[in-house]
Amino acid sequence: MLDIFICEDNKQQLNSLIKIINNLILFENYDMRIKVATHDPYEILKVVEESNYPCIYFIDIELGSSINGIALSEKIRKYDSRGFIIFITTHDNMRPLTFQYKVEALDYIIKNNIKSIEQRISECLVNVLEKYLKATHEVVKIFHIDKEDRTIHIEYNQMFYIETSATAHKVILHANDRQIEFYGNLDKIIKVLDKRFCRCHKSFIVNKEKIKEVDKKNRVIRLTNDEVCLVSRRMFKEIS
Amino acid sequence: MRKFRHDYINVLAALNGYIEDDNIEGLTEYFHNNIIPFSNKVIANNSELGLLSLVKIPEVKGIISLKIIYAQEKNIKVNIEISEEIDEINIETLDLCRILGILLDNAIESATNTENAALSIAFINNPFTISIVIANSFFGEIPSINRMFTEGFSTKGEGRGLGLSTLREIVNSYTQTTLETIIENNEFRQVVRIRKKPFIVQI
Repeated sequence: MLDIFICEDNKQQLNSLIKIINNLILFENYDMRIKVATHDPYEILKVVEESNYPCIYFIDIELGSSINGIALSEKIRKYDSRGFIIFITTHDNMRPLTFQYKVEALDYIIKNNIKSIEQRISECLVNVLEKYLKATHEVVKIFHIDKEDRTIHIEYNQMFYIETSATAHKVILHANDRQIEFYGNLDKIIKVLDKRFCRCHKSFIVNKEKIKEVDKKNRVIRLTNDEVCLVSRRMFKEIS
Repeated sequence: MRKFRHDYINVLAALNGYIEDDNIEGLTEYFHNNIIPFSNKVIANNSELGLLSLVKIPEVKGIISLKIIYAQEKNIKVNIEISEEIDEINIETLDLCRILGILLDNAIESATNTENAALSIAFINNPFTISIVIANSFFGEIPSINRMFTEGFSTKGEGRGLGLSTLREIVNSYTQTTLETIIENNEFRQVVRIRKKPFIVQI
């Protein structure tokens, strides 16, 4: 059961959100319920403190309170780092990059007409459910890092390799369509990954499923995306 | 706008002159006497740039406003997101300007002539880090991210791709900076994260 929190300071809009979400839950038979729907961000925080995480949050940006929706979300994140935050905002307050990088919001919905809000809420719930099921049932394994201001979730099958960066204590994850640098070390990372990953070199961890060919002469592995990893002499056996 | 364009080209020419002569002192003086007043004037007259007044580092404000105007001249829609005052970023200001220059030049070049050309710039202040996010629309196939960082590589032909490898070098020269590159939903996005304190290894 996923709990839903709604924070919206306009009473009429709050009521219509409750109605839309309850209808969707009923109609789609979602295993969800609205736990709190309020205009008061502090009421949300009081309940979030002792809830079953992750939860789903629909939060208005302008709350007419001492804190706004973004500040509320920052506080929520302290308890529920993997919760699903969806902002509801007017066009003027739309700040997609801030939503994403400040509090890792899942999505945002622009208030214009009630029809499109309904459609967007439905899309968000589908998206939440898909992500939630993936994470809980381990249909796909996910590499997960949650450190300081930063969380990284990336599916194992999207990862090609990880290498040490030129500066100490930093590593670079090379994945499909993204390259992510973060603080970490390969000794620790290889321990959390599964068997498809191999420490092929002091400075490299490779996803064996992404290997196209092993070039023994030059001691490198060519990957399916044409990138190249180094291989140490003693790791050849394990690779080939 | 035409007058503006003229001013802008002059500013660039002057900057270029100082750089070619390796005249850092002259450059600094020119920057403070000309660019900063110029950018303040521009910010006051351009609603898109209003948010830049939250950036309290004049050099940074200067370079971003120049690039934004350049982007607007190329009909690129610019979106700026700054929610809080940014008064300190924990790397050398000159390096910060180089990083911003490279990121914005690349973003503008790649967004130019795309349908619904768009450029977004965001400064995000989190408890441990300040993140600078630059995103742009692009057209056509984008080469592998890895190749982009190789020195000399550019989609525009040889000898032009020094930007990203320089960016990598600057990021590598600090322990407190990391770089992330993402291609998603027809958007190319780079995030430079700068820790407020140097990174200390926990044992």
